[in-house]
Amino acid sequence: MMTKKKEFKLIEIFEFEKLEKWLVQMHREGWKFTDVNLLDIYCFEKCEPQEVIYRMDYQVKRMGDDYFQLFSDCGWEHVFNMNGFHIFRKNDTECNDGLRRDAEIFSDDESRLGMIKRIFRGRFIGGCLLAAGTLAGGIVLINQSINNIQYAANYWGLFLFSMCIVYAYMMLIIGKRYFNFEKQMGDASKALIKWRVFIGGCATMAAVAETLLIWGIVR
Amino acid sequence: MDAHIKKVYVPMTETGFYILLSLKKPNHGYAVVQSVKEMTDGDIVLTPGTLYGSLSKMEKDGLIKFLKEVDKRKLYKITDLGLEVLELEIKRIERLYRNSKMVMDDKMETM
Repeated sequence: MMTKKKEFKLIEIFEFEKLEKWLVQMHREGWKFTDVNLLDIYCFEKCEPQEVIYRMDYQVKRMGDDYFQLFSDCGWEHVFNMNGFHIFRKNDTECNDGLRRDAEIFSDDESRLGMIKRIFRGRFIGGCLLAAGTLAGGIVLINQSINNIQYAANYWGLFLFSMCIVYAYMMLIIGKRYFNFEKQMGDASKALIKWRVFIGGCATMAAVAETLLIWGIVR
Repeated sequence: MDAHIKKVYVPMTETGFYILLSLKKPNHGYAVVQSVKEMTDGDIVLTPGTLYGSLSKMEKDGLIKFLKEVDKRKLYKITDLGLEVLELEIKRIERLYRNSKMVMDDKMETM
């Protein structure tokens, strides 16, 4: 009988509620989450089907013993950590608060938004660097191969360009979700201004990139 | 007390108020959870993610101080600044109570 199972699933970390729900569903079907690697392959172990709650936290800093102890005191088992993404679980039977407030690890909007902000900062800067890097690489390679259609750099350049588009799209989604959260929880007009500045910044960057590319081709 | 502290903590949330109150004597995180639950008859349930963030923030702002670590649990205690904030809050809440009582009692009589 199979006791271990691997599943590939792409879940953007900003959609952590989706991840939490999926892990709950797997546990209900008798598959206990053990770990996930950088390639988004999730590993599960066969177990008794159970109602278990999964929650995710993100911390930039390396957490001390007191962090894990506090969660454990509150009934949360620390299951997994990768680059600051902490996954906790708790048996549903241990949640005896009528309003199910003990089924959460955050109890107010401020702290919930705090986590989303940490993810945003952690992911956004890295994502932007990747987008900028692939774009620059694409421009250099296409410029090099512009007079030589058969040149392999052509394909690499196109590949990097498409990667850049993927990264840029991801950053846009992350940005949109972040500002939506902020709008829900705080000052809507401030969130709107920030969102416009953000979109403006992205558009400017795209325009500069395009100019560079066209300039390179014309030359 | 500088303007930043006043702006952030006065008035403060009920949860923040009870956390500070629970740290009048040295306590660790989970003891705060239990004491707040007891004081409010289960109305306020503190969750670990939120409490961890609040404690870190209050420590950074100097409202509470870290004493020592016992069995992987950090012991905190309120500081003089924290007491000052707490007293400001208590005064505000007392006034709130006095005023509401005055108005409501008055209303009862005229009804």
